[in-house]
Amino acid sequence: MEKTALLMHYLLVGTCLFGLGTIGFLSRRNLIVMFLSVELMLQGVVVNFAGWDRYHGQSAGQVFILFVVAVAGAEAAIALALIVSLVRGRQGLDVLRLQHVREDIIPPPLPIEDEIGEAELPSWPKLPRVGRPPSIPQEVLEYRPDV
Amino acid sequence: MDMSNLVLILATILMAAGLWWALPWGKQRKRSPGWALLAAGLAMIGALIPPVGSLLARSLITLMAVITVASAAAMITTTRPLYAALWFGMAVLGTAGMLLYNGAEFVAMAVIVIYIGAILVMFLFLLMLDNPKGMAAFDRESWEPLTAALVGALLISLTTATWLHDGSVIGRPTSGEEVGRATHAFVVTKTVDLGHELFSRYGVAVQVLGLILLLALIGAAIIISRPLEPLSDLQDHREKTHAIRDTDSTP
Repeated sequence: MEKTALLMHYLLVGTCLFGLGTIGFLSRRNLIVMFLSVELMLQGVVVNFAGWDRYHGQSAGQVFILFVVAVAGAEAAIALALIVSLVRGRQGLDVLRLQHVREDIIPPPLPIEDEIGEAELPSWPKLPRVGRPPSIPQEVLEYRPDV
Repeated sequence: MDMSNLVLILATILMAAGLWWALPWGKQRKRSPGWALLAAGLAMIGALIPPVGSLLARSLITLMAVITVASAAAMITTTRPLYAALWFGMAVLGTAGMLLYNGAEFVAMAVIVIYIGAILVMFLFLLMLDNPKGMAAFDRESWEPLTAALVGALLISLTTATWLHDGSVIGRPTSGEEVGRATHAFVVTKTVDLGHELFSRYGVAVQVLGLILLLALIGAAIIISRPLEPLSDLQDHREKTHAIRDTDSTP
């Protein structure tokens, strides 16, 4: 009974990791976060293998965990290539910029230039201006226009 | 209807609602209620599992499980990719703790070294290619957050229901070498045995794995060596193909 309860804990954690990774892969638009979600699903499988390995007292589960980790390494190499080529050819990590891969008869799901509002800039404290005006570099002015 | 089924259904609704609220939509709002709902749903599912071992063992396992799942939830809901990568590292640490508790000490160290030391650091470098400030528009917008949250919550609760009610799914434990040892406490296996098994019984599989890694390297080199065409050229190409198709279809 104790063994079964311990296995159930591991199964629940593995299931949660797999489900959360699925949600991340389905809903996020950043290619890096999507690949991290796939790695999260692999982590769920790893936890599952560990639970069954202990339950049956063999080391086959650990062998398969090593296999999963090696496949994750191969996947990370492909991900590196895909991300670098996306950034080079499309200047961004948005997967919508890869939407020309679809068939011609399928209508585009969203316009490429998305119509999401700008993020709110962080609010900086305002101080009274005294003394000599400082020289502010241009990139700081771009990031903090209210300086 | 069984009481635990009701709890599972309620937990599914809570988890789906919480995830839907916590995923980014492109609109600024307070997202802590979503995390609270998700935690409530997960805690309800966790309460269905029978307790294990002594108080110390129980609290240790619960702590590692909470760290792992909470980091995973934070990873998929944060709007900054840098924080997503760091939360993923935290989830891997929790997983390694659970592996270590199960006596897989070599595998736990391998997971930490490969995932955090190699894969995560590589993704952190890749993050510097684009939007290091994390202010990109597409990071604050999700595809269909409600449907994705429903799919994930249903996946979690249905998978849990299969092994929670039916004991035949889990089966009986193999009582071999572990007879007489505490069944719920920390155990240590021999890494030497793992190595013997890996290179005797699974020797061919190790060779195939090496081949897969080699193929992945070749594939990465091929993908890198062929750059994507610019989008304007693609649109010209598509217009040309459409024109050809139109002339073909007209008799």
